Amino acid sequence: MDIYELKPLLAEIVEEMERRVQYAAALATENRGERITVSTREQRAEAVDPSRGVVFTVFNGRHFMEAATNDLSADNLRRVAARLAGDAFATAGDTGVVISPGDPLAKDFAVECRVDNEKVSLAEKVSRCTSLRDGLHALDKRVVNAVGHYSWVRVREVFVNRTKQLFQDVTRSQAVVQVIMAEDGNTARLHDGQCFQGGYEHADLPEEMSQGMIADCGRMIHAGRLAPGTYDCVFSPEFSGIFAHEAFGHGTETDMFLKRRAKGQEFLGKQVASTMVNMYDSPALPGQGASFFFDHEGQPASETQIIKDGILVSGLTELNSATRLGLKRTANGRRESFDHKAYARMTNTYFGGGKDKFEDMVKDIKSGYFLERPSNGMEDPKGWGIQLEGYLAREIKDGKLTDRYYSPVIVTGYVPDLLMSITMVGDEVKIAGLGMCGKGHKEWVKVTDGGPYLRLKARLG
Amino acid sequence: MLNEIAEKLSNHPGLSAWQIRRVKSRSSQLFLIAEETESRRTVETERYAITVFVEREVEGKKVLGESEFLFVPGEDLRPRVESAAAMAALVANEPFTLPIAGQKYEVPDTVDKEIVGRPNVVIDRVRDDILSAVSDRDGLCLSAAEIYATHREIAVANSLGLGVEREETELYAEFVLFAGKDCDEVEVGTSTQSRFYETLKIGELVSEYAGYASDNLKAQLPPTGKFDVVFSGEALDTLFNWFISQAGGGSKYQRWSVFEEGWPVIENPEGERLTLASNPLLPGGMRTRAFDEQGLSLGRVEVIKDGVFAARTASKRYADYLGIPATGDFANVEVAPGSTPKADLLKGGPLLHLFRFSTFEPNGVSGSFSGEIRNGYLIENGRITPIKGGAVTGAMQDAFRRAHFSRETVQRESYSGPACVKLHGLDIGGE
Repeated sequence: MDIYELKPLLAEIVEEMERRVQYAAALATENRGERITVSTREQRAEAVDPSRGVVFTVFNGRHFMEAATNDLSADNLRRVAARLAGDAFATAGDTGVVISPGDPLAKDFAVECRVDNEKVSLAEKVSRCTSLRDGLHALDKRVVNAVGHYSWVRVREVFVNRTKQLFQDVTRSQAVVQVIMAEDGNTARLHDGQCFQGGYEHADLPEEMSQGMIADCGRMIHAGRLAPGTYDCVFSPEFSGIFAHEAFGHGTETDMFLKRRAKGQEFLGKQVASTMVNMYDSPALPGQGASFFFDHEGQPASETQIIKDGILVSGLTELNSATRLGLKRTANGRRESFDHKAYARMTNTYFGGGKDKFEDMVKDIKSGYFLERPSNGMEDPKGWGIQLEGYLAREIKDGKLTDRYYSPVIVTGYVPDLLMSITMVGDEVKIAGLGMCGKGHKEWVKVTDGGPYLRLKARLG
Repeated sequence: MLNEIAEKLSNHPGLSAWQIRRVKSRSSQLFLIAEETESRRTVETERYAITVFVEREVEGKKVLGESEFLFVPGEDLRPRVESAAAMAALVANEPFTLPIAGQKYEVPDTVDKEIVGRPNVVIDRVRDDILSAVSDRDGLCLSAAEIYATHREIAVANSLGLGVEREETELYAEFVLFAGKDCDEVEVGTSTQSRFYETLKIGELVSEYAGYASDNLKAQLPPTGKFDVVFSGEALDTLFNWFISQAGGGSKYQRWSVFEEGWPVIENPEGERLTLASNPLLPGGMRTRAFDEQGLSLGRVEVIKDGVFAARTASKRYADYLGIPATGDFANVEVAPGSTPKADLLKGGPLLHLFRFSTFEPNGVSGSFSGEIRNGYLIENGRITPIKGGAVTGAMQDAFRRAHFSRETVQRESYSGPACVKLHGLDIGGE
């Protein structure tokens, strides 16, 4: 059965469950898509893991309970829901906590695709990836393995509770290139690409992207090792993005407030960054890879300003922590898939733009580094520590970029120190779309991050 | 259902081969915030990963296309197979053959019967173990915990008549602890997995991490400079990743492996030589199983012997491509112990003893590594100072040039080997 057609059945089941429990909801999700990878010696074309299932959620007055299944027959759904409601009823209590279903809303949403992926032949997609791969080899003889990749996923979701019946049909498409280059016994690997909401219109990668990637990968092969220390730095927009994500993304997920794991909780309303700094999270950002119309708990998408003029003003909530902490709900209750729990998660997270130019930031530095090509990050919301890793740091000497490169680079430090040290904020915000985010080391959801160039002081290794 | 799918695939025209992998999973889950239940969940799924293969000729050469899709009972299979076959027909790889029927399999023990029959009883017991271990120590509190008890039934069948089944249980526990004044100064956390309740030993793990939390109350930044570093604890789980990647059939086929059979894996080594094996039959190992994703029978493979690359691990695909025995991908990591007592590795100084990082994942291609230090010690002239923050960086090829392995061994989730590994002259970025 098409999950859209499950709406009336799920509504009926939710109503039936609420005869026994205070609150009930149902989320049905379905993913489908394709993934095509053409590398130097291998090709793969496969359906993106189609996840299709339903999760029922109830609140028994004391805590939430859920049951998830991928058998979507009406009999099974009724059976699973009835068993869940029965278990909840049997363990019910009254703690005074009341779950609000939210304002009434019944609406269908969809992302428009200018070129429907399902109408583009697989042969064309394979051919496009093959061209990408061949183009990479042609750019540099040191390329030993090149990859052209295109994938798309169409996510269809139904959310039903007492006041809401929502449906969204969201497609995002991603094109990626990757190379492994080798010379004199050294090897390096780098990738680049783009991901946006929409269809095959996003399969085209600008030529400059591949050229830039090859040039940087070539630099990485023979890059030196940076002497650890604290330096004046300029972060590229991509590096700023991962900084935003790790610094005050995870630190403001309010399920961490409930667990007393986020130092940010103590600093709501207080100065945590330079007055130049503004930061946002928004699943309503048009066209971005982590955008949607409602979260997995039925909250309609909207922008949240996390930092305003350096002051921490808001966290990112899911239903449980918003209810228990008395916070305004934001659309950040997200699951990896129907068979995973919902947590407070980021979406598109980015620093706001300022007034400064990149050239002026570099001119301002006597001895420091320009950091680009971020690879990974890790948060420590309680201690406010941060670790950012990147593939490339370029030396700045006497106000100019030199030809000395270092790889890899790691930024560690205390988040408020890093944020307070920001003295210049670039005037153009760019969003990088390829990211995924884990909560700790699991629960993977699609995210993007971004920002402008930033000039700050950081400890590098 | 599996037999039904197999029959339909066998009768589908145009397929050269096919494979079905069925996973039936039932998971009971408990989420705690402090001592209170945040949520209880059950998840039941049945999934079939179906791969179809289409062989054809391109410019006089035989090529093989394949495509995999996930099938859920209740869907219409035919259009999915047709779509996958169309995808496979557009892919042109070197041919290889699937594992055949009639292989001999070792059958390691991977099932805890109580997790199968009474998962909620087991997760409640794990919860009680955690709470009890926390309450046993002053100044320690639990922030949150997640406990999952999962039972999986896995079956693989293919067009060559192979049909195998196995079961596994998995107990997963994750906890975060607070320590310090008002139980609010520092936090430490970890996750652990085990096939059996008896080997989870969650109480001991809580005690160990309580010690780390206590250390972090007085931890300082490490100094900056070059130091000998002893790795133990969590660091061992990923320390050998570069060797594992380089030893794989995939990396050789894709032309980025620098390992050659019969040649040293590290140039001009001065310390102890590494002996590394893949062991899919390690009792209690999380990568212990009778067969791989394609039904290939698995056995122990010595990959590096006394610093010399001895044998590649390879799935059936890459084994066929490279003309080497098929062993399956790298399983549990087994490293031969060294000759030095752990206490001797930790003597002298100044040196760093590191066991927890924010993340520590040596790059499988380049060998470079970096990790922000979450717990460690600076050891100098008998004085031991807890450290936290800063980072260790380096490259495996250089770092293992002078390596020493402890005589004492430890078994972790997918690792069995020296309890400590000492690498000399690594860069530390700290104060």
